[in-house]
Amino acid sequence: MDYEKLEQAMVSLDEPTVLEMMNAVAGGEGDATLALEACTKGLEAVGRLFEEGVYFIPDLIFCGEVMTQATEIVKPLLASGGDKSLGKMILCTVKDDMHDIGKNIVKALMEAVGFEVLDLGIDVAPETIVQTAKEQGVKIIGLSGVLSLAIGSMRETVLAFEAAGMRDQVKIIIGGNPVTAATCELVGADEWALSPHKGVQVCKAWAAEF
Amino acid sequence: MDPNERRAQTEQNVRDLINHREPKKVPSSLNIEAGWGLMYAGVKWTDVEDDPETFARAYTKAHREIPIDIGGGPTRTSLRPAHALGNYMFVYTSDGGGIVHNQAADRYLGPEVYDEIITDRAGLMDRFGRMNNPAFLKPRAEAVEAVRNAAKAQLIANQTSALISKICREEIGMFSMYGFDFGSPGFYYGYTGEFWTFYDRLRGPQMALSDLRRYPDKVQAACDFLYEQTKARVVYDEESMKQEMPFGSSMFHPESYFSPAQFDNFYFKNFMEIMLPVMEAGKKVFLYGEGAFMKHIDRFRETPKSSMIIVLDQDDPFEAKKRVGDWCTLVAGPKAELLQLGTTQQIKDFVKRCFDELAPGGGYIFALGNGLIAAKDAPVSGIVTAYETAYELSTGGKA
Ligand code: B12
Repeated sequence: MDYEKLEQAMVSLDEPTVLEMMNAVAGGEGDATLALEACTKGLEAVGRLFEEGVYFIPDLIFCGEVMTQATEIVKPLLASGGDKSLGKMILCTVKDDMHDIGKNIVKALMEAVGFEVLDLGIDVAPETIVQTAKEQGVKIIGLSGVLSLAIGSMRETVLAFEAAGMRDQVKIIIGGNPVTAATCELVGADEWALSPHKGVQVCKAWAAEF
Repeated sequence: MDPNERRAQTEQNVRDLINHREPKKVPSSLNIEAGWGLMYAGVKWTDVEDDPETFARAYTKAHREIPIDIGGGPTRTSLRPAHALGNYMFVYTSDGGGIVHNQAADRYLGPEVYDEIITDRAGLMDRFGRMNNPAFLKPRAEAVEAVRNAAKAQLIANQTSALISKICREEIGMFSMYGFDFGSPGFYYGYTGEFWTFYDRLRGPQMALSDLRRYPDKVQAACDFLYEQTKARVVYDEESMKQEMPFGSSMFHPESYFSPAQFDNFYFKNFMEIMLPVMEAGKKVFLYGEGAFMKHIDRFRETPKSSMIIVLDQDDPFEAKKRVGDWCTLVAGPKAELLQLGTTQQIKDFVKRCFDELAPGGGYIFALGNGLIAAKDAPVSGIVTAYETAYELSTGGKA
């Protein structure tokens, strides 16, 4: 199996080649873990190319879809269902907001780099997030939202962690269109990102700290 | 002030500023949808929906009390017509105070639509319409009854809308930049990109955007086909092309996500082909820019100077001013997020900065870019602070 070719196919968003090669891996022509690693490297490169203005949102959405399919193909071969070495993180769209295209892109990337993503879905109440973090011992929280009112819901979520006495046990990153450095400060989150690539880097660094 | 007088003054200010002359007063604009307007009045949507007079009075309370010169486009006033047809794409919020898009009810079609729209456009649209309005799939008698109920509800909704326009225009003296509403007559030109049909309707946003990668040739062929049909329908009437108002119009939806090549291909080149003759004849064009589109904004330098009015949504207005402020009018101001979480002083400072940096030389209308839709979008206190500060800065007096 030519893993470099697989990585390149991912970078150039060549869906037929990626799927063909992953099917070959599933058929015994290679190692599933190495193949997924190659896809992930490709995907991270796509994230960087997005930041550099070479790729655009449609490309990111497409890339997430290709990655999800690639993972599905070899999943049965992976004992633990894939690399989850970075531990758990929560990801969701905040209360009263039902947009999830951005969140789904971020999820595909986070899973690809080794997070076990607890995707709580859309319109998720602060209490649910706090409760899940408590029960499952999750320390990294990713909040997504694109409506103006999502900023208020993000703030409420941060306050709910404070009220539960858990604020200093978790790291919170917010993302979505209305998010800026200024909103991050108003919300009281630890970090913010519009680029999923930056989000991944931040969460990886946090996972290494914990 | 007499409402007619007030409207005439705003109209003159708008004429001045879009031609890059400093107006006597920088006008303020706000697009209030019914959910926010009714919340302001303390009225529940579902309680007043069947009563045009009460609905219109309650909804326009904010317009009467907050200093707004320019109003937004038509607002949705009722869900009953759609619900009568079994279409639940929009539903009431659980407290009955507003409405939301209900994603669970979205029905999209497969990628075959790109071919099908070329071979059988009418059939495809009919199929899509029935899928989203399931009443049409019922036995004839039931379907007829549903249509009758929808029509009745639509009549009430139309009365409400007409009343809102009348109050805004005749009692408050507001001015509208949109082509249709507040009873403004006249010929109207507009262009929206063909890809909308797939993004907003047939395929849904996520699938349509990835189709740009997965089926580029099919998407291209389908959009080209639709564009040819659009172009064939455009008729230029010399007299109405020269009239500044009502403005021509355009709107972004998927456009902010395009790469520069896609932007050109699926929007800008067609926009220019259809709208340039209109602008060259002296007509202005109003663009409701949705999303963050700074990467495309320089393209509007290719339009004739002082012919475009661009509403900014998520972009930084100061950066936009640097790029195109001497060429196009910008409709911009604080974001709802600042009004939610900022202090009164932070809001005032931001509004002042808008007047200091955006207003000189004309080409500026003060507005909350993305408008007010849901009750929680911005608190009343934040809106009042922003618009009263804008009023003071533009008139030197207290609101
Ligand atoms: C697609 C869309 C919809 C779809 C959503 C489909 C879906 N499954 O998500 C539908 C049609 C259902 C919809 C519904 C509504 N929508 Co809408 N919608 C949009 C639209 C066109 C695109 C949003 C989007 O998906 N962007 C693409 C993604 C990829 O971008 P993103 O979310 O910002 O994510 C990126 C980054 O921010 C980042 N990111 C995102 N999350 C996170 C999280 C973390 C942790 C990190 C690190 C990074 C990160 O990664 C992504 C990749 O770069 C925008 C307009 C626009 N251009 O923004 C309006 C928009 C967001 N919608 C809007 C509105 C008002 C609504 C409705 C309320 C309409 C109504 N009256 O009912 C409803 C909302 C119902 C609700 N309660 O949520 C407004 C919001 C206005 C405001 N400021 O509040 C917008 C801005 C349109 C407008 N200008 O009026 N919408």
